Amino acid sequence: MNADAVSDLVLAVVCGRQFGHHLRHRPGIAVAVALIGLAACLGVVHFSGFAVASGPHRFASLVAACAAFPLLAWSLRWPDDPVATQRRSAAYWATLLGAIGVAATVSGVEQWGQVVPGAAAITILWTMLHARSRMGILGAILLLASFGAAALVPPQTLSLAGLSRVQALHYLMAAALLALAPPWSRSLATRTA
Amino acid sequence: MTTTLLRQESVLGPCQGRPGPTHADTVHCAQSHLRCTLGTPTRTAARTRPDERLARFTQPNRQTDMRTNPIIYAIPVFILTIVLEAWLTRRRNAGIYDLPDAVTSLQHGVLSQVANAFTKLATVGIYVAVYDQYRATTWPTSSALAWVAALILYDFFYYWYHRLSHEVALLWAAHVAHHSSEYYNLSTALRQSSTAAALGWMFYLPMAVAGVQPAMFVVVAIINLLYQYWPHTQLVGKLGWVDRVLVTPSNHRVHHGQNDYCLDVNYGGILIVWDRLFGTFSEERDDEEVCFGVRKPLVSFNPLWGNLYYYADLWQQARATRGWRDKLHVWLGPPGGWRATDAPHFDPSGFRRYDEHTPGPLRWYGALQHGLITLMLMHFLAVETRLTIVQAATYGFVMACGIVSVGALFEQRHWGKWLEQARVLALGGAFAAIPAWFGSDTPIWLRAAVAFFALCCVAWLSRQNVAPQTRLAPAP
Repeated sequence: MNADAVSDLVLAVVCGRQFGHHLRHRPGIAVAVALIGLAACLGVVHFSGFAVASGPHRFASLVAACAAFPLLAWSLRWPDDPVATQRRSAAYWATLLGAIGVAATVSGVEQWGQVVPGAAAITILWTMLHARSRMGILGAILLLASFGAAALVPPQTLSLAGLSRVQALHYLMAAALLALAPPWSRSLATRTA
Repeated sequence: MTTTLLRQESVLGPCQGRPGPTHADTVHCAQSHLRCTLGTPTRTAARTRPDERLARFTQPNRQTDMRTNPIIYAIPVFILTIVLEAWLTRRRNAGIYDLPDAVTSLQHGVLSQVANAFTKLATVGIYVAVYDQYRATTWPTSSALAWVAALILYDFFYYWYHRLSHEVALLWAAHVAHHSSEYYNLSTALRQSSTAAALGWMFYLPMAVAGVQPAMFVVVAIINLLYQYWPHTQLVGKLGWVDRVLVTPSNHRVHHGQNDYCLDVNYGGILIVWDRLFGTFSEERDDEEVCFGVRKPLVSFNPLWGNLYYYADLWQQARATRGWRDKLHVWLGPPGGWRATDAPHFDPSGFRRYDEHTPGPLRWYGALQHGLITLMLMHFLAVETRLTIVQAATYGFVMACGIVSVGALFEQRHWGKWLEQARVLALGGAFAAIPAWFGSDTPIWLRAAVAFFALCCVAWLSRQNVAPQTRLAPAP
């Protein structure tokens, strides 16, 4: 298991924890982190040297980028919406958004998988600024930083204290997910709902 | 969570860095398999852009030598079995067939086949592109185990697709056409939606990622579809343990019912075990007759409207709803909306089937015209890959006109008579005047015969009194 696999493992563990924590009260967030976690799990397998997981990892990453982040943004922006509060609804949206993303990407609109999560992160930042949530703002900034690191840092370049861009993406995203939906946020969501 | 967000430099090289067949080999292999069933272009490219790959599957190709669409062979079998079932039920005086309803079901089938000709290449194209770029491995077509596993996997995803088709308004709008008949017989199986294929492809993409070859996928999809034909009958009763494993007439009758215990159950395609596993199974009751159809009936013999009426309903609901999020939930929430309470109680004794009391001669005229439209469909399916988009659309429009006008005659609409006369005249004239009917040479005697037949139809229709008299008949 190399450093990339470890970074994906950390992301998977964070997603697993967040999934278990939010499944009951905030299923929108739970479904979103489940998608990211699935991609991370496949990433662990892929970066551990199993080439067979390469394609599924990239596919799951694409679905997560196109579906999980919009779903996360939606669930944080409108915590009382059926998409945020109903498992079924969250699953429908994830399926639909993921399918649109896959169709767009394989049809040649490859930027879709970058623009959509970017727009979702900006929406989350705007929501957190409105809510004046310090942790939320930090989480949104970390999320944007992770996307920025992924999009702007050239491959093979070491940055952020010796981390590769893959590792930076994973660690920043894990931190962002922890900050965006911390354990105490359930009561806030319940009050809002 | 890496590759998508990183610049996707590896998108065009999915086989890089892993053992096994080369990209060129696998692309060629997939195309070869697809060529057998779908007719891909003969040009083989080792590396092409995704949009080019997709375009290869969406553009008609004149050079393509395609194997015949298997539906062409299935159509005569469908017709024979439907006639046999109708004859048997007539002998038993079971009253489970109504000619206008059965013809309308078959017309739905024609329309869906025409629509599929335009959507299948795009939807299968997405599958092929995903398979090409993201598959984990390649399932061998030489392995019987792989075929069985692919069939089971397909059936599993079909279960979820079918279930969501009943639980999401947008998907229900596409699927409701199949449930709109208030009769249940083999013709109901062919009452297929024209818009469902455009929405259903997304559920099967995990199969592409798992490595199920496109040709294998197409074959198991056809097997799954054909299997679902036979459960649409009332001639077969309960089958004991088989009812607990496979989708059978008994448990599929429940799926088509609108009784309280029949709502949103038994979604399986081949295996009913998925319903038992996920808690959506319901057994047919002996003490309560199943009333078929939907709670909000179609009340029309127009297949075009049958495909669109629930979309129109959703559109009206969305227009009447305030706020863009609520409008969105009209389309993507459950049918009836998130705030809807349980469905009202259904009393089977008060059920009345839709009936326009179409006169006998008009019924048989409609059946005759449908027979001719079916012949056109078979020809269309045989030549569709040789047609340009415009030609295929024109051919489809010709058939759609016939379908609408036959439906209007069943409903005894005044405009239906004029539309049908104009259609028959135009079609007969065009067939007689044009030497090659969509690429097929027609002998002069056939052209003359068709023109004569068209004139006879027009003359006969002009003597018919078409007057609307909507009444509802009691259920038998």
